[in-house]
Amino acid sequence: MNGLFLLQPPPDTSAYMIAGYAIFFTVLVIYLLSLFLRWQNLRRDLSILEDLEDESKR
Amino acid sequence: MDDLPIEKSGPSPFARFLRAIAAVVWKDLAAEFRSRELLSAMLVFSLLVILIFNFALELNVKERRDVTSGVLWATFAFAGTLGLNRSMAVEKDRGCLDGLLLAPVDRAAIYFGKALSNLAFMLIVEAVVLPVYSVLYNVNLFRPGLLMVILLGSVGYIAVGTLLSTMSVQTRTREILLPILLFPVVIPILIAAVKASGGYLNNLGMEEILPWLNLLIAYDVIFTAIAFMVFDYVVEE
Amino acid sequence: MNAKPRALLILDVLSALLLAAATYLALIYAPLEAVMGAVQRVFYFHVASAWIGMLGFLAAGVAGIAYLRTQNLRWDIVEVAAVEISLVFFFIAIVLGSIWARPVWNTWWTWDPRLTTAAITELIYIAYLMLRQGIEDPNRRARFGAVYTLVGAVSVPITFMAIRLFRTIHPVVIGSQSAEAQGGFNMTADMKVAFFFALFAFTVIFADLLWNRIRLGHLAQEVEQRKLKVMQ
Repeated sequence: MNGLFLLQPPPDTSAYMIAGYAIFFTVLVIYLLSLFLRWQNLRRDLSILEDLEDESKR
Repeated sequence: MDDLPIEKSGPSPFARFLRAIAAVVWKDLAAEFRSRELLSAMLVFSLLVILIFNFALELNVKERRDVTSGVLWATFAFAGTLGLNRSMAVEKDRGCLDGLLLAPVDRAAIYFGKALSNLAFMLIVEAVVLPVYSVLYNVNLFRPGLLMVILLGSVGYIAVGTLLSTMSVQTRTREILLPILLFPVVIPILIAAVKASGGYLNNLGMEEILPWLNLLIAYDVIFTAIAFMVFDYVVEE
Repeated sequence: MNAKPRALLILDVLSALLLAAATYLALIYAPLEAVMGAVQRVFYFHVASAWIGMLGFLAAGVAGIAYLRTQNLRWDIVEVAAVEISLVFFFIAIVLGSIWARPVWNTWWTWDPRLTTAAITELIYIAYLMLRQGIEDPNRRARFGAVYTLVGAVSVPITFMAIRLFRTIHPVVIGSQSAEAQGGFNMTADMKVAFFFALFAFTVIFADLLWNRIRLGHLAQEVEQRKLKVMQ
């Protein structure tokens, strides 16, 4: 099988390569975004909770 | 009982441990033989699974030989989750689990007791499925090797299943969760059991079956030990 | 706890730079592979992602045992963080593997032991997250999570061995041997540079992500505790 390939120039598989790297970076960005959004939401929850605690103290 | 070392103050810790296991097993079996809910559900379910496979796979004479072990293990795995779920859900709903935990017995004894009674239910179901399958498809499934594989596979399946079902009944999703938790971690059991059963059914040489038997035994030992060690964390309040 | 520590900021920047450099090495610096063509470049990030998945898997197992021994919720947070990162990167590794397999072996999926084990690990981790979701009490959630990670950590290597045994006894058209013979290649020195640099870069990225995710876990824990306090 290998010998058969060697007779020809390397097949053009760059579309697969681009797809692979595109998917890698997309998934990575989505994950980072999800980390960031969860962080933001938790910060907001925390500040609301802090306000509630302050009110109940007064 | 005579050969067990017995202290003057009472039975040795090991004898007490065994007695506690026997008590849990006896309680489950007695309750089951009164209601017969669990066994009948598991049995009917297994027969239905075989029926479905019959039409889904076109079990003709030629193909039957190759798929029999797969069909059997798929049936056992599905019926097994049904039984595990029910057996633990009953404990939880009737408050038996809390009662058991309050009892002054080693938690590990509760684990082994539950595992043994679950194993008994599974073996009973298998003992009914095997002759039915043999009659329906005209294959002799009663070969010592195959029976041993079924025992080894069931032990591993139940060892993990009892641990995981104790966890899953304490969650919000309960019944739905058990197969999702259990199947990915019992894959080695299913692979090894299917291959070993298939080996015995097709009269393959021992050198092809032995690796799978070793795998089954290793899995059984490892997971019984793990479940024994961590069961405390699963029932702790 | 809310202001990012300086060391973490430096690690963030360093990870980004290393990722950029690894991408450059993989896409431009490394020579074109003669047999497979450009798609072989996917290999660098495929293996490196799987490497992060493995690191996460190991970290989760260690954190699970540490939690069971100490009952300290800090380890639970580490465990969830490791599981989540492992889940993301095994997913990437599986998808990149498929993309590599398609032109080389003419199929999207091979039941190769490594690929299949990675997929089963994904299923275990999804089950893990579902288990945690169904439990309210943080301590019980942590205990059950740790027990399940431990069971998973032990079963995955056995699964890997079982699948490999499955393959060697019953070779198929695209078995491990023929597949390796066909998809395998000898790395030139330049390829090795790109390969090991990617592994190194991804190790740093793993540490960075893990740290960030652990901080998120601590914040989530604080919010949960305050919620309980307010409700009382």
